[in-house]
Amino acid sequence: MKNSTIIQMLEETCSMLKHVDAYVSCAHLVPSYNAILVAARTNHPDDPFLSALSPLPVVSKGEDGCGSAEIRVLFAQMRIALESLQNESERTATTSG
Amino acid sequence: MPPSDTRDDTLMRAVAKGDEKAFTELVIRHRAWLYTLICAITQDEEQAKDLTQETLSRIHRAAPNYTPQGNFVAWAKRIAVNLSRNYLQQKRRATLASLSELEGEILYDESDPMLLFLSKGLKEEVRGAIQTLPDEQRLTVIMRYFGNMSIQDIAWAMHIPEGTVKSRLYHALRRVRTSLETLWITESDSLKESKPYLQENQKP
Repeated sequence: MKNSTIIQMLEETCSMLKHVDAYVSCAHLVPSYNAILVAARTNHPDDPFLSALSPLPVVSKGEDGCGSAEIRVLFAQMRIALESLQNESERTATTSG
Repeated sequence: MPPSDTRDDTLMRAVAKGDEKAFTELVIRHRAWLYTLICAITQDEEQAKDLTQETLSRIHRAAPNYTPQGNFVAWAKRIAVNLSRNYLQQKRRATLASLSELEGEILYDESDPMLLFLSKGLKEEVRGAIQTLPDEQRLTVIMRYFGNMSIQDIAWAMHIPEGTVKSRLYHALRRVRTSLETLWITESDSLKESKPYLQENQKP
């Protein structure tokens, strides 16, 4: 998956989470977070920043997972990690809004 | 931050006509996120209280001239950001207090996603790297990634061209990455020295 696609997914997820109360469980987004992290690491296998980010434990149905605020921070953090890998021309192309 | 809605515009119109109850409702709706936003910028809780009052006071005074366009939140944010920036400039602080001191009190504030920056979900090293950025870069990064603001909104709030916002973000992220790589690679090297049996792919 292209970096720009991953970044767009992260940005859109964060935008969506803006409207969710901070303590609402977002356990259903954990698999997405983990999958995006794997995709990002696949693109940059030697990156120390991405390597430092840990996958989240998947909780079973009915259990409380991390809240929307927490997972939003994690998505934002991954976005910083990926965007900081872009060169200036790539950044101009993806920071449209 | 709550999304702007037409209720704010209605309230502002009422405030302009002298309706103090309408202003009270505006204060209730917006004081919390204004305070936490100002806290995030100034890193000074006491000062943030005063600046929040000043922001609300300016909103009250400006009500007769307010143009209802459904963007009250962006307008109020701009006032808060400007007051906070003026405060920082006046203080000419050489160093900034650690944002982590505020962590316990305003963690996951329900009304201000910008305060996510202070939350425990963020890796301490990442927060530390952002904290050491110059004021303007740090504020831009917080607005962009933790406030989820668009480039256009940041430019508008900070009175700078969009190109400047992009440039600040670019240089800020470069700095963050450089300081983190230095930190993590150094840590990794020292770990390997102390535990030479660790393989390359067994990073801490």
